[in-house]
Amino acid sequence: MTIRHIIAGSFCLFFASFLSAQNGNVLIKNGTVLTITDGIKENTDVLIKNGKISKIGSALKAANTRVIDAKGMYVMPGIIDAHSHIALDVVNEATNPVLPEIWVGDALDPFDVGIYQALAGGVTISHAMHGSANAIGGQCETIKHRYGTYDPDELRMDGAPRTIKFALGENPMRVHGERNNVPPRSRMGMEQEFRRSFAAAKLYKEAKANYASGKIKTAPDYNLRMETLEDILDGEIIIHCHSYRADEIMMLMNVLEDYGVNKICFQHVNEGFKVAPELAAFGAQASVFSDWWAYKFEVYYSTAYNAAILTKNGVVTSINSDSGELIRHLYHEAAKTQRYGGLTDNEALRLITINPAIQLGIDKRVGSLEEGKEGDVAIFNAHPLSIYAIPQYTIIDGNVYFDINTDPVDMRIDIDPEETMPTFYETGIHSHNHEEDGCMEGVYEQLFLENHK
Amino acid sequence: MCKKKLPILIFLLSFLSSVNAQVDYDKIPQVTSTYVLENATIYQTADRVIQKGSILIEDGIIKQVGPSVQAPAYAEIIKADSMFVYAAFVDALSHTGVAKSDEKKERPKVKFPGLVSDEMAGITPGTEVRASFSAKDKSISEMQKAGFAVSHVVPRGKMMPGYGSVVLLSSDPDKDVFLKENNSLFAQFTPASGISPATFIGVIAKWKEYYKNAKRKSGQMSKFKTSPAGMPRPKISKAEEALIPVVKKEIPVFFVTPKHKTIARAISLQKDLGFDMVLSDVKQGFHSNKKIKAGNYPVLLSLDLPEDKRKKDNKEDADKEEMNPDSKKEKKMDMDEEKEEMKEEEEEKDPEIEALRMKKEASLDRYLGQAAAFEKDNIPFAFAMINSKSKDAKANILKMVEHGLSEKAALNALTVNAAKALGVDNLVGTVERGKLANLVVTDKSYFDEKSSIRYVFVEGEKIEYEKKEEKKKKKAKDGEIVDIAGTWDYTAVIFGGEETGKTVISGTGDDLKISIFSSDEPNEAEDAYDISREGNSLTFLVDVDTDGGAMTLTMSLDFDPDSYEGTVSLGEMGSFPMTGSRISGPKSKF
Repeated sequence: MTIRHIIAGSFCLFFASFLSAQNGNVLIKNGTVLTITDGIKENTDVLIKNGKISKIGSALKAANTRVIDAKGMYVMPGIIDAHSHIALDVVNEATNPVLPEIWVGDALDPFDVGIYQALAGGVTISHAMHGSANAIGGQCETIKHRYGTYDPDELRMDGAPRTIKFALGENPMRVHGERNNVPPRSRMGMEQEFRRSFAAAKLYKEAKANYASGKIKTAPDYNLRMETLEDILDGEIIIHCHSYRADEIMMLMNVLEDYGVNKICFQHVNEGFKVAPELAAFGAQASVFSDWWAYKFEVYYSTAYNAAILTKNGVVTSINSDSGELIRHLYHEAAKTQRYGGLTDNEALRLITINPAIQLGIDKRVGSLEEGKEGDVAIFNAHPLSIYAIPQYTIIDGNVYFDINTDPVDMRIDIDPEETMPTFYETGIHSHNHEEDGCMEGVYEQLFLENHK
Repeated sequence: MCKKKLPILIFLLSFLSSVNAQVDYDKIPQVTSTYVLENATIYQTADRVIQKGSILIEDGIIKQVGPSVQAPAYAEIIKADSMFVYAAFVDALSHTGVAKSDEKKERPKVKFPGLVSDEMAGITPGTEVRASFSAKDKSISEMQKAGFAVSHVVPRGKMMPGYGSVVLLSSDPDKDVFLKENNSLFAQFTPASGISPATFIGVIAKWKEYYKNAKRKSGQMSKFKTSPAGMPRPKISKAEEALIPVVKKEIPVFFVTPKHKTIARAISLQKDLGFDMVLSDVKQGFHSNKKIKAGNYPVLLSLDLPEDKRKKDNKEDADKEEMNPDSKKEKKMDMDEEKEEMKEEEEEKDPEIEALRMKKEASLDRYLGQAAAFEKDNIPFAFAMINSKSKDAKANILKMVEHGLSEKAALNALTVNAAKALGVDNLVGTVERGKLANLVVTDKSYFDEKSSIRYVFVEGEKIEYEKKEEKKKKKAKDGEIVDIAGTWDYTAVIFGGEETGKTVISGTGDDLKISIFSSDEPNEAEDAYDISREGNSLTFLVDVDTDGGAMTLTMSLDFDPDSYEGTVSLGEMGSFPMTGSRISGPKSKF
């Protein structure tokens, strides 16, 4: 083994040694702490012990704990992205308009360098979603960006509620109706997909109950699709629905009302501003882009005031990325709501912290800096809503996963010895593709290209 | 014209005419099926070695093994002095004998890609490999050549292709080669194309549903057996029924999991459902050691390795130098210039690209060192040939040894570990009395780079191999005109028989003179005519007398400095390969 190989080997071990030295303890000294739920605390320390925030106060001390001097810096809860597709090897299974049995949690990719790029933007948690090819798509997975692990299971945020992707409008209509010539071919057909599915799930549930009570002798066939739909009806799964148009949003709320389902967060929801009071009355939530639209016909009627209007109407609103590029500067995306809609600092910051946490059902654990919550923190050199803000540290469970002072050139951890490695620019991650939302990843290759496997 | 005989050719010509008689010459019985291997180094197991020992093979089994054996008078004695004997290798998973289907892979046209038959979806767990296995497939002789006598063969397909069986890699098409039938379910994360399941997450969802249904219905069926009264007869699909042995843990699932992520996914699925699983065709298992050990999963490592270009480049450079001693002088003159260039290059090296290259090399070393890492962690493993080329098997094993794998562990993986993983270790995997006579005999230690396999025994059936040619051919450089004058030997393989002799070439340009001397009559020359030369290609005619009458042979040969290859054409009888190498240079006389 040459010296060269030893050096290269030590590159690979970088994370192992880096993380094993961490124990979930860190003391952040003298920062401006943006708690989100309890105001701004100047010149304050945050102590994280065993992965949890144990104390927020002044002149805190702790033995055997890494100390970060945050003097002049801003300390905020780790940013949460309620809509992303990073860290996934498969986004869409597009062969059926109703596929709730599919789960992208089976496709987690701990090697996706996009996780580290998100960390470098202060993002600690993202909602890894199935795509929007189907009316009822696959289940999603809420992940913590514990980059450096080789174990997909270590990305999972244990105990986070189950979520599922629904989709309305052009995407499922195009995939199934136009291309495959099966329903749904129209927005009316879309509605029937939901009603038919829920009705079938009710029958399935009934058959199971009849078997349990002895009314029928044979148990119905185990049906993973129906099992999942049943869990939605029982409120065990939060729906995240890809949507743009106000009429469709109203349609789905009507369907859900008929079936007694109320856990829903609309995604994209570009026309949400038209039905903001109705969304608020239903208790539906909204996760939007700051200013991204016009990439297909149904996304023309849009406004950068959307997040502000929804917020002012009392809808729990977040700003998401749906992109490996936007995820790197969600704090900047949130700041746009101050130019368009005049949200306060705290209202704007809620859009990327506690509000997405509520939408994912994890707000008791993360999303704000409170004693007892998990130690997920992002530290900036300036106020995060300032155009000059640069993330300095990103911490998850009290472990530093991004430190701008020791930020290696290349953070890829799985190198195929036979493939040519693209440079960052060749990967295309840096350019945000404005032609199409990320939700259709893989669909055309899967269904319509002859040579795709 | 001199009279000249080509006895082998004549024999073969007469053989050709007798083909019509419909006699199966492939089935000529062997003179004896009793063999004694004498005076060899015998690896009974990786740990138990007999120096200068002998083995008696009779009726397909090892009758005796020890320092000496009593050879019956009718036994064929094989002098195996300085040779090495091992238990023939056991391939723990492959498609050996199962030819790829010729069907053009077109997307099935379906009305609704979400609703397709199990067969289209690739869910055919009940398919038995016997249906697609052919003892005549060429992969069998290729595997024998690499030292394998037993394969665990599985059907081809997508996510659940079907049941696998353990077979003997015998050349005898009439033999019952199935040692153990339907002993496994073969599974992969391979989706269907354009129809459900179109992704591996679709495959996983199908697995969950089919497995749970098989479990549920297996219960219903046994309940129906004991008290059917008032109970509708359980409805069970073919696929679900085929999964019942898996649900009952009567057979394990051999899951193809080459990469780290596929291993993790298979383990998650296994933990969820609870079947017995063998991680198969593992190439990137070095991140999963802990999980594999914790779950106590049997592991089959792939014998396919990523290409190591570094070493090849170095070697090629070295070879080039060796081949062109003349060019060295020129090189020296350029040296100073080159040195300067190299200096400049080094200075220009981009540190980022350099770091990337180093990362890539470190990664490569981990792949090549996978087996060594498993050995170090005390995780037993065997080898699976399913996505590996049998001709690369030895080179790749040596590469693993080079990267830290002990020869002992390698031998165990090739033999007894695989036998254990398949539950046939009572039959094969060691050289012990009573075991099947599955042996591989090499002229040097198998782990010597220069060793060749000389014999493979498959249940006592002897397959003999010629010693490997080590000579490397020197190729003519682009544009180089080879001076072909001199004495050359020739070997022509005509109807399977070898014709040898010498060719003497003298003169240049239009005055070339070519004389052929057959080994049978080395003093009688046959002169060639109609000689034409284009570059290094030579074409000429030779008349020969045979008992069947005069014949004109057309030779077309391509020359390199020290060798040539080409064809000899017998008119309508066909063309046959002809090769030769230089015996002496242009000036020497024959």
